[in-house]
Amino acid sequence: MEIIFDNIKFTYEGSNEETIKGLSAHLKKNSINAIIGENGSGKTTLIQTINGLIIPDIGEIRIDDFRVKKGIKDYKDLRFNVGMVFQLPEEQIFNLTVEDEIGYTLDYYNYRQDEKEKHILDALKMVGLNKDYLSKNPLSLSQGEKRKVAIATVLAFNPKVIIFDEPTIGLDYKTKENLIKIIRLLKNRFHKTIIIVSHDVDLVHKLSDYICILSNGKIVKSGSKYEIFTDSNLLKKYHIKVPKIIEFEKLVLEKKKIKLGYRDDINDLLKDIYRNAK
Amino acid sequence: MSSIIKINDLSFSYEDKKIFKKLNLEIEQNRWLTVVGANGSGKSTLVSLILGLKEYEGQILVEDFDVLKSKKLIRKKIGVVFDDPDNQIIHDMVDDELSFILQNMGLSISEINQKKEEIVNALGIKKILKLKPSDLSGGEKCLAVLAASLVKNPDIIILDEALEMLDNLQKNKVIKLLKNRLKAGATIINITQDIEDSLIGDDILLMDNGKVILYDTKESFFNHDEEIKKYNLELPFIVDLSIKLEYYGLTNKIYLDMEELVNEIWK
Repeated sequence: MEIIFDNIKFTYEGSNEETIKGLSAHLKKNSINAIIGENGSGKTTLIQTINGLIIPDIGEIRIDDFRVKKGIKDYKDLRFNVGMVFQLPEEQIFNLTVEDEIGYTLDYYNYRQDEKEKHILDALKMVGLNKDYLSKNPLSLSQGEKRKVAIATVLAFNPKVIIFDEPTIGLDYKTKENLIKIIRLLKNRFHKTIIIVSHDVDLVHKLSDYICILSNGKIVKSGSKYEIFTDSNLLKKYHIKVPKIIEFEKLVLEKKKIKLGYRDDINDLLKDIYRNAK
Repeated sequence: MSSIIKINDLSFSYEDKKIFKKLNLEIEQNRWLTVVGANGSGKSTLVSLILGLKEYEGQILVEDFDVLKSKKLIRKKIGVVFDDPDNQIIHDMVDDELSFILQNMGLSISEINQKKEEIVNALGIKKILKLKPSDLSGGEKCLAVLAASLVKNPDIIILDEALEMLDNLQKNKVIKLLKNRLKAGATIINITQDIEDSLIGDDILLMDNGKVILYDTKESFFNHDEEIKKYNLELPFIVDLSIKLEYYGLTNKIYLDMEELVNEIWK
């Protein structure tokens, strides 16, 4: 699904400053879109407008034929198409067992019992949890496991757009690598539109196709990851960390006047180094 | 070097699951220790036991005080930031939270204001002082809890996956502040899943399944790369690159500094 923000503005109740300040942007379908920016720049607010959790005061969001704007009250069908994995799993977990937690949305959308069971088990399997977890209390699990449950809950109802708010915080290496695989699979095999909000630039660099930089309630720049991460001045201006692999390539160019190719994978970088160091 | 935390024969179970079985560990004073390990390896549980939040078998000494016998004192000595900052601020405003902590230390109004100003400037959080915790973004909540933990000037600062919520600019500010505290004698314990952060500190401790697998200086830690791999631990970019380049015969040791590695490759 294609997502278009059309000049949206939003102010939180009681606040005297707009959080989103006349923002227009375009997120690409069947792609991994990343939204990056400083703490408090409005990232979480922005993504919550995509499924109508936050309605802009002015402007609208178009998600294919769906609209999020003032005056529209019913977002049930939209939310069936746009799934959101929240930053803190505690914000979305409220059932007493993992089974009920994952099944809750399926009940809401009237899934048949046999279908429901299949969807729950498939979703659990995808995040790498086994059947034993079904009867556990999600809030008694470790932070990483809670996050897996939160992700499984969204995967279970198979939305076309999946939003991940800081998906890798608190995940160990194995779980993180597994999540990266899942996200790639969701895009490549299931043709989902993925939106990721993250501080982890190495993750964004490795994973995303298209990047938007949000600063002070506005999208200040968007482009391919190559365009974004090779623009040193841009990264500096918005305090965005340079991905390690690019930091290395830059250092080699600066100190040794050797231009390695632009790479997002360490094994490709390795080949470049080998060719140039012989 | 002396130990600031001594753990003797610690055993602890959570519901039916054994987390620690006769764990022994001594954490050195005035070092920056990074603790790494998979989800569920016992890192966060260990923090709650060091703080005396749960009963256990065995003994934990903090600066030679028995934790279970001196809980109040321990909480003065240790500043902690957990990974769910939502439950750590009790007042309606960040400002009130800081004032409350300082009042409890018996300081005068002018001292309170001075200490508050110092921490607010160091973390750059003036903007959020008058806000309710519920109106803060994830990263801002984390900064508020950090301010509340650091303002009492604790001997030991424990961060439980707390830096992960911060953007690059804020993170660098916090690291600078923590390094100053380290210079002034504090001990820093940073629990993290971001392996790049292990290069900021002095020592690294790898936990798995309630056991200490490795505890070494960062310079030596990554020489155990075969063992580290067994525990599914990610390697920092520069370490990973050094090891891979060794196969190609372009390096002969593990580098922690990018420039040194570049100079070695293109001698």
